[in-house]
Amino acid sequence: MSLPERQQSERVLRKPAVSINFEKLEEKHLVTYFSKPEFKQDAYREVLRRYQHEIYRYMRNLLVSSQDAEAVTAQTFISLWNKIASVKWNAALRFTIYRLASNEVISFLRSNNKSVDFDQAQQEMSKFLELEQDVNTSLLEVKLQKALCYLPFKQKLVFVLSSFEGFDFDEIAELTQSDSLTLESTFEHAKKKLDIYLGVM
Amino acid sequence: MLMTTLNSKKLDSPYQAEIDKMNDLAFRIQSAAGLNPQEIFPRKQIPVIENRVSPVQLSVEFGVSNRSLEAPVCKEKNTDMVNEPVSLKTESTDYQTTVQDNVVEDKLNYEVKQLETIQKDATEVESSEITSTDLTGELDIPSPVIPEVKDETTKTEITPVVVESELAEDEEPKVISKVDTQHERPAKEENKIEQQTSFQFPWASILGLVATAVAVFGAYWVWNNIQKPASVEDVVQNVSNQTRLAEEKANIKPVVNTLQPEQLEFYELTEEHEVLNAVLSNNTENKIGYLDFVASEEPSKISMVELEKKGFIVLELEDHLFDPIRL
Repeated sequence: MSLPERQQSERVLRKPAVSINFEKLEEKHLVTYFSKPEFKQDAYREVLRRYQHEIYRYMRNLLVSSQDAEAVTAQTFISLWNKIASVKWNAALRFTIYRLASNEVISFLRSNNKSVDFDQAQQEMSKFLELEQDVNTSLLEVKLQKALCYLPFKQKLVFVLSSFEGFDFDEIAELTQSDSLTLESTFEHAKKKLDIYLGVM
Repeated sequence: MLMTTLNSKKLDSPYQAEIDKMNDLAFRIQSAAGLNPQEIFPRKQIPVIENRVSPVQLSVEFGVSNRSLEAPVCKEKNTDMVNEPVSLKTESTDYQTTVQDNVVEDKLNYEVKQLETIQKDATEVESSEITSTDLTGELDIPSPVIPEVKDETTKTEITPVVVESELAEDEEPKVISKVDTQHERPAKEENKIEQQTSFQFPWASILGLVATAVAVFGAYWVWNNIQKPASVEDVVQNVSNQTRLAEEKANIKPVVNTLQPEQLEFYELTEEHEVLNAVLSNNTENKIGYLDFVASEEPSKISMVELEKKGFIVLELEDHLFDPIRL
């Protein structure tokens, strides 16, 4: 029996008798279905449906290139699937996914730019901006994205998590295992630099 | 404007992914995770127009009006069209009346009319011939033009010889005088032109002379001021200097730096040069401490952040920010 057929047969066998509408479930209830093998796949698909767009946009903000963003997004959700049963879901689902995504983007940058400093990699990313502009982007948004590329990666990460993704400094500190005051100062640095860049551009 | 965007709590990401792209990505993720890939994001349905009209094929022929193949044929209308007598509205105009007179109603009549016209032409020709013969009374009559011309030519042939021979002596001076007068006119005109030109001032030649004078003067000035030739004394002095320097160079011996270790001055590094000493002694340990922000106490952290906000110090994020997070 081939692998897809076997998967199909397993799926048929494991198909739950009770159908659950996962779209209407809250996060804390959705997380409980990860430990149940008969609902695990559907719950995972629901996670994909809820967070794939968001993580993709987060990656685009950090990496600019759509191909890189797709690769890291895929890797994030694959690692989530691999750890889905072992993770203790004390933290919120969204927070955990962002943790995984941040780890993946850092490891991606490390693997692709072993000899290159992160800051240099950022400048390389700015080249993609002119190539991969979306249709609906305004001039100010493009300017902001371009200015973001010239920030050091740490400052960029903190600024993106704070301004685009809506995390507060305590959450970012927990996410990056850092200090909230440090992150606050980093954010202020980033904001000052961006203000200067946007004034020049 | 810029500050307002930065100060706003949450910014919108400009990157919007297409649904097809996201579906493909979801397929890839599911297949990589070993799941049966399913479509997660509903695709946009293309709107279907319900009241569609059946297509009508049009045949276009050259010279024939357009008509549809599926169009129903209306027989009654066609018959009516055929049976209807052709009624043309005619207006009595002068043009129409003249045209109607010239219109040939029947082919036979047309032939008869043609014959009549031919006969008419023939009778006209015959009548003209008859009239010409009746007047002269001869069959072969030379044309009235040719003999007259011949007579004139003979006269003209004779007369020039006689006239030339007879009037050669008398007319020669006249002819010469005529010729002279013809040559005298341009000569007079030339004299007039010369008289007129003699009064004009020769500006072109003067300008040319001035230009050459300026060019010569300029060249002379350049030669004397810019590329002034060296005097004989200077040349002699230069040559003598060069020879003297060459002789001195030949006499100079190469100097070998033979400093002894005793002559060198050594400095002992004090505690201030600790770092340099460590580097020189290949000791990689850096003994200079740094402010550990994380390890410091809360009040000092706050004071450090305040100092950084005012631009007195610069804080860096710790490296362990990028350590993998334990789940």
